[in-house]
Amino acid sequence: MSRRSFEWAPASLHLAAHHPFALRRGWVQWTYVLAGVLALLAVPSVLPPYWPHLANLSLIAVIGAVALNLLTGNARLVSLGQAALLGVGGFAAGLLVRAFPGIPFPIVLCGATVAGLLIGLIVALPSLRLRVLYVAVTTLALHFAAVTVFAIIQAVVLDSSGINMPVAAIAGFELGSAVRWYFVLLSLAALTVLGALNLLRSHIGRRWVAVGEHDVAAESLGVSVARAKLSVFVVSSAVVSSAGALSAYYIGTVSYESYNFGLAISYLAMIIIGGLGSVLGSVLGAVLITLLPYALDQVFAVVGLQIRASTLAGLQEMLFGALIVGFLLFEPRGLAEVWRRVRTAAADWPFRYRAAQRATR
Amino acid sequence: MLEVEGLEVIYGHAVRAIQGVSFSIAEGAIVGLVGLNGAGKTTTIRAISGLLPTDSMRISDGRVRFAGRSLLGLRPFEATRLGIAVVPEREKVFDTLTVRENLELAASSGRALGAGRTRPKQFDSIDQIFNQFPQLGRRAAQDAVLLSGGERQMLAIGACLLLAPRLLIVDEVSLGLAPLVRAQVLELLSRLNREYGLAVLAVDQDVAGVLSIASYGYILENGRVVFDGPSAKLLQHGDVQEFYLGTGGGSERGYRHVKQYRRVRRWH
Repeated sequence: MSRRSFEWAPASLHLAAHHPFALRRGWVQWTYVLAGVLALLAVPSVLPPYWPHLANLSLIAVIGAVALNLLTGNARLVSLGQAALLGVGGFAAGLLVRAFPGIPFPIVLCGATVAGLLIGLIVALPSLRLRVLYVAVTTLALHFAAVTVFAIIQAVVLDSSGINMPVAAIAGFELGSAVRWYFVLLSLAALTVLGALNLLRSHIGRRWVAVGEHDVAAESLGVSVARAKLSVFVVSSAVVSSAGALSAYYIGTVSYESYNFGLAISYLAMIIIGGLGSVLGSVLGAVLITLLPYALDQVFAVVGLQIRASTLAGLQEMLFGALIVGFLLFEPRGLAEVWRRVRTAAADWPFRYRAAQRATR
Repeated sequence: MLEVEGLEVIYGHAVRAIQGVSFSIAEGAIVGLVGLNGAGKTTTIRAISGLLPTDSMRISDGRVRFAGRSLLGLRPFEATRLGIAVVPEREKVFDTLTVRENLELAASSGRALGAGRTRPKQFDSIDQIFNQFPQLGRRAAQDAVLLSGGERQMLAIGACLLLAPRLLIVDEVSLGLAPLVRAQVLELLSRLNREYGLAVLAVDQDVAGVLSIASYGYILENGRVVFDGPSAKLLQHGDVQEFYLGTGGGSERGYRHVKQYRRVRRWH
């Protein structure tokens, strides 16, 4: 379909009609992409030493949030089982390492992914006949069941201590420092983001969106709702579980206490604040929510307030809640929508609006 | 092609929503199924297309056969696979997908269902749909949420065409459409029928509109077919003129009066 555009406007406006920040549109956009990639690669060498660690935490969160957003944002199946699935990945990795000492890191990662895939399949089965709220309840059940199982495993098999993970290594390259981890996690996160973007552009992703939006209409268009729900659950759970395994290796220990319900909620916060159904939103939300506690810490340090750790934790939770409520009220489509507005404003400048007939993504 | 015989639908184990509806659609015909709100039109369609279980309704009696196969107990996508495409009453397009993506979704599920292998396909590419609906082509890259009511109806019909249907069922052809747009949509259905031999079941409250394109009509009331016959004959019928077209009778009557009167006249 050719773009028939701006018959009423001077020819020079044709260029302005394209999004200046959009990817895949021309050399200008490729320059932006190149600059972005270079900036990301330069993080460890430019920023102070603590930053790679924060970046790593963000990248793990990005992988988890992108996967959760496929399930909750695109297919609109609200999942409260995020912490449980991260735990499945963590414990799968931990138990594999304990059972087979010296097992290579990539194999453990694959094992954890398969474990998440199977758990996702089991949780998906009851949800095939359920709608939004009931899916939330089944995943809530998953959370408590899984955490109880983790606690029992830890108490009975592991003598109440967690599992200490070995240093990960890929083909002899030991991930002994935050900077080395950074490059591995950056490529894995990039893979997840590109994978999610492409899935959403494929017929599989379209079916997820269609089923999420109107399952009845989707079904009468010939989409098998059951298959779509099953596939989105499986894909999302597998990726989340692999993120759990990555985080276990990166942190160095696996223990059931870390997979609490607050973790599941904070992942939901990431995708709500970032933008439900948007891959870019998941990335932005994950980075924001991960860095928020550290930023708050810095703010208090700069202001010079001495605050006890427990008070700080409380303040963080309050800020969390306020952010979620604020975004739901004032920016329900999240940071991704803010970015989209900025982009369109830049594209349409100096005009404020674009005719509805001309509106595109 | 489609034969419905003595269809009975029960809602929530208690209410008989459809009480023995029978009708049939011949190959390549346009048939109108008309009636007021609550007459059971949508329920009848949902029974045919396998969507009843989502509304906690079930078919308690009757037969529904399409091209020699029973449709009872089939899932909606299985009915689609046999060649029945339904344009639902509401929620017919996916708002967060663009117009083109909406069509791509239909095209891919059409391929997955084997449309085109088992029966001839009039439309096998999205560009053909855009040729058929130039208005959609101009809006291809827009989110469907920006479409007007008429464009939504066109998009939904266009998406259904990509499923290579043999029978297109349109629930509420004219709901919420301006008279001019309604005429456009009706003309479109009639053209698809003429040019491609597509059988159409047009369901609507607008009796005059639907009967103007249909060759045969059924009038549904309280879950029963009360009148049926060739469109021309139905349009001439005194009761139809009085109660559905508002042209017969003479003196104006209030809705309640007509309803009472109709009940008395019909069932006694």
